[in-house]
Amino acid sequence: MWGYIARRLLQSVPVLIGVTLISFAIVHALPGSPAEVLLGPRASAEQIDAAAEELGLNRPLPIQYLKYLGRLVRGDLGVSWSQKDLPVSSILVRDLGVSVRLALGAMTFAMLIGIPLGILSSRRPYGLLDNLAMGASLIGICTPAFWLAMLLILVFGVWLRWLPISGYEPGSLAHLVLPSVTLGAISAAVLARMTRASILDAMGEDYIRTARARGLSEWRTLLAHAFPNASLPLITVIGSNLASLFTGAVLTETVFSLPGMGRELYEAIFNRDYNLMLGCIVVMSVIFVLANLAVDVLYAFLDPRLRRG
Amino acid sequence: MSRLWFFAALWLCMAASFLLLGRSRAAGTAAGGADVPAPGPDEGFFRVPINANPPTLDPTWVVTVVADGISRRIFNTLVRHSPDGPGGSLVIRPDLAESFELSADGRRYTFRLRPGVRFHNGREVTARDVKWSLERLAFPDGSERLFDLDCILGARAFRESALRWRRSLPPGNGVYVDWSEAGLGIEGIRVLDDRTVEIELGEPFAPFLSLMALTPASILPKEEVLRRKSDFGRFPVGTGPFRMAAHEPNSHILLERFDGYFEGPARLKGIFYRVVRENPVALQEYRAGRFDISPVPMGMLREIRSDPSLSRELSETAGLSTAYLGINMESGPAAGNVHLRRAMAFAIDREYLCSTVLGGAAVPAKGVLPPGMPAYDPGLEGQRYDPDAARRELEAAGFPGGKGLPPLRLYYRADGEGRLVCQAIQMQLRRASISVDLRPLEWGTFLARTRRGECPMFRLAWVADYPHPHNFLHTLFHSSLAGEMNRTRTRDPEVDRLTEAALREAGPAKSAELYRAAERRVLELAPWIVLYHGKTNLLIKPYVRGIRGRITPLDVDTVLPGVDFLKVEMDSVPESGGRR
Repeated sequence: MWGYIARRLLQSVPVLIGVTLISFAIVHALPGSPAEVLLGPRASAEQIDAAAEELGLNRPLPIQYLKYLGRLVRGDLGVSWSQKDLPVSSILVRDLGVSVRLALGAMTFAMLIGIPLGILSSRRPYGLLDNLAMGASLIGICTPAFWLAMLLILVFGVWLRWLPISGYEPGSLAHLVLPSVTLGAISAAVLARMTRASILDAMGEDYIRTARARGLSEWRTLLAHAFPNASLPLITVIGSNLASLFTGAVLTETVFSLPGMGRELYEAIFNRDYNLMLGCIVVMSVIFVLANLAVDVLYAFLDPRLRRG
Repeated sequence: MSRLWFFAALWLCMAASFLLLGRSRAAGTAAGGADVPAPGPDEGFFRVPINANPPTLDPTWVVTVVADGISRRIFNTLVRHSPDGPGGSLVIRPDLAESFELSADGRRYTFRLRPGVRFHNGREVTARDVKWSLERLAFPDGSERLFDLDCILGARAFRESALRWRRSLPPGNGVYVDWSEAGLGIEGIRVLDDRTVEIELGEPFAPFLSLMALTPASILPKEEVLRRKSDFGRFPVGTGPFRMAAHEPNSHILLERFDGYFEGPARLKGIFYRVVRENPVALQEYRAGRFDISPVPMGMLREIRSDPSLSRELSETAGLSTAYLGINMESGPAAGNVHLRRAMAFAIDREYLCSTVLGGAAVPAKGVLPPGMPAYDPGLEGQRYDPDAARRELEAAGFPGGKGLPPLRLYYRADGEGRLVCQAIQMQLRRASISVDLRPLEWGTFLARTRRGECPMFRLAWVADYPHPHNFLHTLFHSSLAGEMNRTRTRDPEVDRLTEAALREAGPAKSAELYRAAERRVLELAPWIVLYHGKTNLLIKPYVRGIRGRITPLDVDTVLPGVDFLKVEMDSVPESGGRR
């Protein structure tokens, strides 16, 4: 098992180098110069040139890339231009804390709602409960995060005044409730549909007929026999969703003004803050690679067939 | 069944780490003192939403409105703009300088500092601080400057010698260095004694005092800047009525009252700024009683005006800005065709833009200068909506009924109100047989391409840096600035002559006459098709006193850079405040 993990980690090194190369190229291909955005509409051409020189943007691209890579290997992500020389690493450490909490909150909510809902609706397919649950999950998938966020803000923040509307206070759970629900809604819906589909798939198998023949109750058949076999795809969904929740919460973080990674990347793009953009992308890629690795390891742990193969 | 337990365990792990992460982080940052809970109502803090994180609060590099407004609370300038002129107009008043005088030749300003003014670190402000702070603005560092100080004698020479000196330094300290140790400085800024500083200009420059009232001209303590380096931008130290208490970038800023302020302590306990990206969200927070002021989100002005309780909290102030369609005077179909430009100017219904498209959030423009700006001419005929005249001009332009006229490309910033406005303009011009292709661009690209003269037509707005017509008519139309702030690349000897003469003219009436002539000339040439003047629309809770009625045309955001916060106070918040 450890050898497997080590091998997978080694494999991810070229992946990460490829990511930096591609993202470096894309970042530099963006139209508009960082100096121009940094200095605003009042800057003179002379000032813009001076700033470009200062930022090292006048050197050839391959040299800039190698320099960046050299610093990256030493763990130095550079300084942010738009946040006046703050080290990118310290910005990202701060943001990551928020993003991780938000993603965990969202996934906690999604699992709490999604999996039981999926199990319940697979109990009687096409029954009233199933139709209601699947209708609700369809709405969950289709609802734009922005709209759902505004709706939750209006109901729980303005009318009922139960929860804070926006902002982030470390230590305060209440500030993360609405964002977690907003962000987790789609994952909950996906999990519900996935759970239902996998269980229904499994219900047609021979061992279910055997279980029923042994006189097991329908619930027991469902939970003890169908669900365990149906649950492997759920691990994939949870793992990959968790990674994208870490990194793809731009809208939620913007509406609720949470200082997380998604919003940082979004702002960095508009500010043409190359170091911050690349820093975000590198950290996000590492998270993705690690999340995929974790899913694979869990698979191997849960399914003996994969361990031997 | 074991798999079920596995999922239960996984879920518990997630829920637990969700809860525990919050705790550990709270404990970690409490020691650093950076994090504070948001103050509630009735705690004496004025609570303000800001829609962007200020990149730095170091006044030298202040670029954004938000940073400007917050820096203002922490720093002072030699003089300030105050709305106590006739009819609430802005006039220059002493700030750190208790008095100032101008020599007869209009080139030498002498500022006498107030005695006993102290920085937040306890040190007394001297004339040497003034010299160093103003030199820092001219120091070459590749940063943005709201304005440059080239009008001061020897500023350009200082910039050049300082650049050479800086290149000879070992890297590492960046711009946090002291040039005075190397014997460098601006010749025209002289310290006469501890409390007196004289500034000599190369030639008379009428808006000079206005420049000295801008945030970048704040007076800083050298020792703190050099010690804190880039941290000075997050934890600045100034002389202002408030000082930095806590700053968590991208989240919040807490200022607390500075009891040693030279005009006596402020009445507020402090000001709490929190970043809220979306204005509709800020408005909901305001309605829930968590902010004391809120911006009016785009398109919501009419709804708020008709809301019985919110309309009483609404404050609408005209700002010193003009939105316009800029036409590239060097290339493109309209460059050499004044009749085509005039046809477009006649074809746009500005009343409709303001009332229908912008929902009353702006007032129609006739000329370049916004109302409230000195030299503004209320009797100006200017550009107006006249479809018949548009038809005649189009015919004179050589395109009768629009025949033979290729579609004109109109560039604009993709986010914000530009999209709505440009779509309406496209429709209006089409009615006048002028077809327009809309070309949205993202801000950075837009800035670069308009500066390089690659956009034949673009929509932009200019907000005054200071209340002086020079900041419009010279800055945006003088040929020496073509390709820089003069984005239309207007090159007209008459405009140049008039704006230069106006700057030299000492008498305000004569100078205003020259600026009005320059404005009429610009409108005749029509490199700008003026659209509207923006307004600052805010909601302010009724228990806040000292802001309403004191908002100046320079206040374009919730941070209110032009308001003197010394006198702002809050009555106790009524229990039912805003519950609905």
